[in-house]
Amino acid sequence: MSTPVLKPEMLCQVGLIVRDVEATARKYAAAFGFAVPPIIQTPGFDNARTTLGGEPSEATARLAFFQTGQLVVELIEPDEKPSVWREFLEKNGEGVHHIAFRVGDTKATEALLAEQGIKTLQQGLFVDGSGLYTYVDSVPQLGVMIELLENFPKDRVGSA
Amino acid sequence: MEPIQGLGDRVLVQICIIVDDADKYAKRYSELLGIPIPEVHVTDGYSETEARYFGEPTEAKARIYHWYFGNVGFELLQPLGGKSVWQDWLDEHGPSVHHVAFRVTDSAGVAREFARHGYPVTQQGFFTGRFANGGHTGMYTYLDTEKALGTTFELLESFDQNGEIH
Repeated sequence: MSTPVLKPEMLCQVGLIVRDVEATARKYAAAFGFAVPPIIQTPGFDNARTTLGGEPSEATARLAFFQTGQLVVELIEPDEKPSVWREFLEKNGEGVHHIAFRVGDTKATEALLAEQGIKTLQQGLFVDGSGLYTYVDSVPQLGVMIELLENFPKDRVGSA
Repeated sequence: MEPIQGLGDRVLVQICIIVDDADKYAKRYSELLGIPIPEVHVTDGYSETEARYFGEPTEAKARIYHWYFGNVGFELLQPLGGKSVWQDWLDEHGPSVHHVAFRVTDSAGVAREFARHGYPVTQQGFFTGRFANGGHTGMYTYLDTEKALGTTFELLESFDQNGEIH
């Protein structure tokens, strides 16, 4: 029996890869009566500290978010550079790319996942530096990519 | 155009992953999330569900495991034959997230609202299982939203035991 790694009630997000985040966000807004959300451009390596397979990456994306109860819907339009987002778009087209769980300690969670044969694929800071996201190679075992989301304690914001 | 009416607070209540071996995936979720494997639910064919796939009666069945992750239903669904949007998805994409769901109280009305926005019904059916009085317990409806919204949206409706007798 293996150690549980993720807390089910920490499920907080469903992330979709799209070709045109503005167009899709407008369709969500029109269908469901949301305000059109702001489009957020993620920064390059200097600010996001993005790594892909452990190597620094300049991959960026444009994002839009809708809050729907416990779940946030994230729309992600990847740029042309290699990333887990770009790979999904090229392989699968548009669709649900990941589900996210909040974690308290990314490194400890990564270590437990590694014991289960699930390694980290891509990692980076939130746009405002307030936390860390981590995509892991869970598709073969779970049928979906898992993202770990860690919010840094307030006094660490900006210092990561 | 007026937004789709009848979705209440627009809260997503379910994520469903279509898989080729529900037992295998359920075991892995159980281990990695520290949750018991729930009792498996196998849906019935047309005589019980009156399921329709693009308007045509279908014997579509599925093997389903369902948990609550917080307030969100989390479903693993393995298609078991009969024409279905589930089998189409599995054939085209392999195991992956198929839909997210809203809870509604008027499936027909909300489906008309989706159709008004260009998202018609693809598959619809009653839940398997009945109330003691013989009435259906609820129904599901899939909408053709995948191309426009990036995923399939489903409507879930639970019937009132005293209000719906079929």
